[in-house]
Amino acid sequence: MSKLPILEGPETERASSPLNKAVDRRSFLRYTGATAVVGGLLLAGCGDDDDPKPTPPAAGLKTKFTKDDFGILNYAYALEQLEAAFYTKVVAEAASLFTAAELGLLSQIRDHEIIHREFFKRALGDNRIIDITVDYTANGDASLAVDFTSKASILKGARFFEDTGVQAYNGAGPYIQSADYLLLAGKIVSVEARHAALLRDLIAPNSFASKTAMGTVPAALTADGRDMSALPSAILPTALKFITQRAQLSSDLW
Amino acid sequence: MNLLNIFDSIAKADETFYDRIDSRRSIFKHMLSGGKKVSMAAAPFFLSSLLNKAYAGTSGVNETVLQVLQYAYRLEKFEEAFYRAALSGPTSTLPASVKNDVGLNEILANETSHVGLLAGAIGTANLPAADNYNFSKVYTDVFTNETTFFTVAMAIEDTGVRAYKGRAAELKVDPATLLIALNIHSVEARHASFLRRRRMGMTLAGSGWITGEETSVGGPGAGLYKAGNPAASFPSENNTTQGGISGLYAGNGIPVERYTEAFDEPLDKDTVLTAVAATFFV
Repeated sequence: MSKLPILEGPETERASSPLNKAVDRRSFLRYTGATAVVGGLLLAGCGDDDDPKPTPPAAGLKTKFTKDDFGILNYAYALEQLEAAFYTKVVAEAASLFTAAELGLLSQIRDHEIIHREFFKRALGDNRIIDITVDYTANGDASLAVDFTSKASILKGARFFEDTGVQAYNGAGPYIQSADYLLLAGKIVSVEARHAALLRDLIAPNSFASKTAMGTVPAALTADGRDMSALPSAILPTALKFITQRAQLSSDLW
Repeated sequence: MNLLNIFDSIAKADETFYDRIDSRRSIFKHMLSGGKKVSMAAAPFFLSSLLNKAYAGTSGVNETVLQVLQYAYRLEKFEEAFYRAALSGPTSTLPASVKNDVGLNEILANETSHVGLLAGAIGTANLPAADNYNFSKVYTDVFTNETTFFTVAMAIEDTGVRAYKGRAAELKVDPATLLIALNIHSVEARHASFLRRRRMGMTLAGSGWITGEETSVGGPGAGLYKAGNPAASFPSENNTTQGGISGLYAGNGIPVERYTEAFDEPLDKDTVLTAVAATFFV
């Protein structure tokens, strides 16, 4: 039986990472291993969702969003990488398009997204997916591409990333096995929602939590007042358009 | 045939299966408990007792889930009543610019929707008794002074975000209900973001996120952004340690305020209810 990669890291690294607290699957492997010693019961099988370990890329990082907590956290890590890179470029290259107050808030959002990205990077350690860069043409999809000479295009892109982030975290939430990671996702998703509300209001005032489309922004909420969560399988096809390394990535997520 | 595939098949049909039996891990603890070997011959009996444990007494809504829903319902009813009193109540002398504010009326409509969603999930028979409110009990000018109103409203929404976050894990046994709660939780955060800016006259002097314990805000912010009980599980909004990771960001030039803003913190039920009741309930 192969060990989960997380068991292979150095002890010090493991102790510092929340992902190295006992997770069900890790314990599952331990108990299974123990059973082989104790004997008596055949517990050799892993569940159907245990895919064979993919061939590691050169850097040793992952290229698949696996159907477990690691996969969900890597999914979040991918989205945070996109957001952090996006706002970094906005502040660095398009500052002149914004008022000082707007730029101040965009800079704060950039910092939040960098913090989220670095958090996942550290938490996942060697289990993280590859570093990704942003394809601002959205793989040639003109309805999603971002023009960094246009304030409207940048705000549209930012609003899209934030609302998508909220939908992604919420949609994945019920599939997170660990209560600790569910809480961490909750701590982040409400900040993404705060960002989304601001960006919506910059585009169309009072659209922060609207149940109908306002101006150029779509409805934020369902008719009964809920955020519109979506499964990874619904989010990823669009998100991957923004990921330059899309051809290397695959997903087993729900 | 092996047991794990059976368990996973059940879990595919019923996503809550592993939660019903505590966790996947507990199966193996169970099997190995007391050093007893579970033989293949005994496996059917083991499986049977496990399934009985998992599915015993599951008529209707899980008791814990019901309690969380009732808690959320009380908070949403309170929020709805607060905005209704502010925007159209007889004691409110807030200016027309506030009473007719499109965003505030949107928030009221959303709270009404949330009350309806939660009531539907709880069922009529289990709806909690109505609370009686006195919104001016502590902040006597909340409906006569615009600044006070927005400060209180902001604190109420931020507390709502903390309250949902504080109990989300208790809903893991019921994924469908958890999803509803998550989708309401983030709406509260959207409201809180708007109120932060609306409070500052939409000048963008207000941001949308919670900076530390918001000590500069005053009013209800003085308490509602602090740690709950136990503080290790419900940290203050100035917390910069996440998932056991601290000191991660030193030296990258990002100010500490951003770390406090980047993660919202949960708050426990007792702290929330005590604060809300002391300030607004009679």
